[in-house]
Amino acid sequence: MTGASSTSDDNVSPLWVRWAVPGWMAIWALGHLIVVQTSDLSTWRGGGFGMYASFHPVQHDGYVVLSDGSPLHFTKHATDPNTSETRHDTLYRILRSHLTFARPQRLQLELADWAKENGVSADATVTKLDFDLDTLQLSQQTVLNVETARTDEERRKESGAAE
Amino acid sequence: MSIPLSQRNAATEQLRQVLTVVALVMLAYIFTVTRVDETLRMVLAILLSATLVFGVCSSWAYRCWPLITLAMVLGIVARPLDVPNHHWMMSYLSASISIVVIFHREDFHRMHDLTRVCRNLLVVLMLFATFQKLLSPDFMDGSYIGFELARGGFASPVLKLVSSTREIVESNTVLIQELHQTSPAVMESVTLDSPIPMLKPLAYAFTASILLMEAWLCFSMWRLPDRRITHASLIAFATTLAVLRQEFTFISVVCTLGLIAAPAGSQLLRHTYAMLAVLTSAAVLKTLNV
Repeated sequence: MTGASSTSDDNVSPLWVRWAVPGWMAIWALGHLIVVQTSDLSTWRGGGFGMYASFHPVQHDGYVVLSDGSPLHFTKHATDPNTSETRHDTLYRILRSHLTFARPQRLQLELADWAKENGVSADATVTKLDFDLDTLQLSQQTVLNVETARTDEERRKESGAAE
Repeated sequence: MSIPLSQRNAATEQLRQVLTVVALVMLAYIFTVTRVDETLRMVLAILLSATLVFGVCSSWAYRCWPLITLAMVLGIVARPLDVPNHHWMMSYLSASISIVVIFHREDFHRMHDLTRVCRNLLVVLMLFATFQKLLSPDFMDGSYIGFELARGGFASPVLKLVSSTREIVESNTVLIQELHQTSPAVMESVTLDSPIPMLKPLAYAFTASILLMEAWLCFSMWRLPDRRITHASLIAFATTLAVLRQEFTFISVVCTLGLIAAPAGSQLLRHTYAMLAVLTSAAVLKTLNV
């Protein structure tokens, strides 16, 4: 696979040889920029070259409250040190990508399927940091919050308590 | 008109240096990255090593580059939200090398076009790095840089020289960790201490400097790619980044691109880039504690 390479010093190789890859890089990065501006995709990931433009995804947190246990905490690199059950590994895998790219509808579906399989209900929150340079106050901003439907047993308990 | 032998030999030597550095930088990345599938990591290690063993300018080595590109791209496809941007950059670089080494027959033309392609890659890189920051409220209001200064994620080698600063940074780190560990329903915020006087003006100064530097690098690589000031700026950018924020893999990639983009005949510049690329790759390997 060779082209007609000129032997002159000016080297008239076709434009695509010099611009195919940078051109594609620019198109992809432009698409990434648009997605970042219109959704919750982190600037750090996805090939948009937005490193150092915002807080790193490792500073994002996921919190899940299950109806049958204590609150769980997930970060991009680790699950809650108190988790030991296999199902929490699955929950971590579901939540992890949303720490970088929060998609409420998708998380709602994934979490609902998982909750139904495990016979619990779950509330999941993804947060990111916000820093006030004047007051030096660091706070957690909620990026998304999804709740799965309550189980039949929980609904019975709630209606029993109401009566 | 045929290319003089001296120019052909010089081009081959330059290409040999470039491809050796690229292979070494990518090998260092492959050995240290955790976010690439193990099989792909092994395939990449074998292919990159093969280019070094066969001789980077041999036809066998040239044939490895499309496979290296494919493996890098598969790494992205497998974990698109995990792979860092320098993986993307290395993929674009290996794709560029693949096109150039296969399209041309002469190393002279390969080196000539590879230089131009890498200049274009650097222009696009700096262009989007600048725009991403311009459009990020966290960056433009100084809060991101201020946070990184407060937690010692920025300029830490300098900040840690003063013990009182070091203590404040450590206590801020503890506060930040507490905030992370606690649900926002229980703990909404913490107040950090300023490790340095005039944190806010300093954060603004860094914010402005970073923007101006990246915009300048974009412009200079586009309009002044053969000028020394362009490459002096890129080297200054890389070395400053090494001090302020030890992102050695990214720095090694930038230096590698700079090596390829450097004007022909500028031996000192090429050797400087090559040395920086190799040193920062070694620094990356150091994280293995081998």
